[in-house]
Amino acid sequence: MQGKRIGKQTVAFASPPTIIAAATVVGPMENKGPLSGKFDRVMPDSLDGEQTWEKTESKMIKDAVKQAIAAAKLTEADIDFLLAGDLLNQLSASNYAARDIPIPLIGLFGACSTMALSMAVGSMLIDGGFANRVVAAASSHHNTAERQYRYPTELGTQRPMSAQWTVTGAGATLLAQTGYGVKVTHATLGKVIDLGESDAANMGAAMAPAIADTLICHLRDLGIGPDAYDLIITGDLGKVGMAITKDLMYRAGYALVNYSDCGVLIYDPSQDTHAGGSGCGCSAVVMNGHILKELMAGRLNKVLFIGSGALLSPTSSQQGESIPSVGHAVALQRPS
Amino acid sequence: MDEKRDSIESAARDAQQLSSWAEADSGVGLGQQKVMQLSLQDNQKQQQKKQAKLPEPLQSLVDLVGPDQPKGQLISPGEPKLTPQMYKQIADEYKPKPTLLKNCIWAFVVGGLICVIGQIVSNILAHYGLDGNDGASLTSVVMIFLGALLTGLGVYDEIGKRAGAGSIIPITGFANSMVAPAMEFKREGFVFGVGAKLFTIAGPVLVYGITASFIIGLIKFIVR
Repeated sequence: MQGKRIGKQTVAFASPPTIIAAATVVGPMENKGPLSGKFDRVMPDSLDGEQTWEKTESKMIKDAVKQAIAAAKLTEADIDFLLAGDLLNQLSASNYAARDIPIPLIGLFGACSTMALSMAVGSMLIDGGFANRVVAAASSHHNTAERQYRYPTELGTQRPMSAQWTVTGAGATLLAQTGYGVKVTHATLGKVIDLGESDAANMGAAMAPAIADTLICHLRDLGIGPDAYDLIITGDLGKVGMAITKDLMYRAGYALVNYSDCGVLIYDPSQDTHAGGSGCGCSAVVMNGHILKELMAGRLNKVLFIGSGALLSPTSSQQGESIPSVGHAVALQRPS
Repeated sequence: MDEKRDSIESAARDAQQLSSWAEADSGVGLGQQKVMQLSLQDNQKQQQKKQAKLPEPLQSLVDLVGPDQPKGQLISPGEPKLTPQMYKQIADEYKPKPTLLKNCIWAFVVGGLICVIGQIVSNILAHYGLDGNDGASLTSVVMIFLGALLTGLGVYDEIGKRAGAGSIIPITGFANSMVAPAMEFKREGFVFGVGAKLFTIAGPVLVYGITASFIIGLIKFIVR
């Protein structure tokens, strides 16, 4: 084990992998939010010249991955693994994108926690000595998610106030053994937790206990408090899930102050998304487009990023199952 | 800002108190359940809620206030100390209330407006001599066309977002529920896409509508 494991669920990287490049692709709506202008590529519309939204999502992943590799002035031959995931059945967006990317693919499904999961697993591959460079990527598309999980996009339905809006976006992070950039110091992989929330329109409430559990586990494994981080940022809990997480953490004895959520950051309340953004792309674009830049600029020192995933399927949901959820955390540190 | 800091500081104090109870309770098991119960029944509950409802992260991403951190105790929902029942109670507190009055007004106005348009169409048809059953049928046809057209133009979902039942219940809503899947699934082809998925939304309405009318008809036949 060489002492890389700490506590129950946390790994500490002996030589922390470095994020040497990142890239993001978003839809037009995401670029109208508070993080406008921070993204590398903004699609003109939801189709971006493709015939179907599924093809568009594949293209988004492909663009993000290629752009990240290009930003580091590398070629695909320099990358050992591609770790990617999305929300679609059979991970079709990632798998189809990988047709045109000659890098061995490890497909990951962590629902909306996929970005954190792929960063964690990628870092383990690097620190374990199995790879020199990997690309971790995740994507979601509002319309592909709507038609798979909910209703046809043109149907005139009313969304409850707790519902979240799936982000159209893809993000890719290029992790390397050496180089200059943000370091991934620790990762805590979460247990699947289900406290019985079955409302698919209130996924923040379903995910909050999983996030609180992973966060508490991380803090206890390392023996630190939340103030060890300048910012603790969750994936896509939205306003409701965020408030519940704060409450749960408070009940567990932690006062979360330096805490935010990608789902709350990405949209402006005037964009009428109700509880905020969701989807793999949500944390992928906020982390790669915004938080990494803040770390690079030195405005943040240490950040704990906890991807939050609601692992439901429409079928199990219709069969009356509740929503199992998971949270995966990666600790990031600015370059010194 | 001062008020916020005050509430954060008092929250930190409370949290410290909670964790000291837990510590006193005994080493490893941590007596979290006891803490949970205490905190659930606590008369400070209101204050906690106030503290926990501080989601203003947009302004304060880097504006960080660091109180003295209490030592944390594990909720560990894996070993259900926090039971689903307890969690439901917590989660329900944060569930946003539907904007009921606003929704009702929107539904009333839009639903009414659709009916007014229907009435105008009906009156125009009557003016040209089409009344009774023929007029009613043609009015329905016109309204279905309008619903389908607005769906195709991408307007109907915007109306439905606000009006809810006001735009679902009229016949235009039925048109929307047919045209939306037709448009959506055309990309999967005319047989397995449009053909197979056309009734995904309208199907249940038809199945139970027809079943109900059959049963009512049967009752009427027997009772007569």
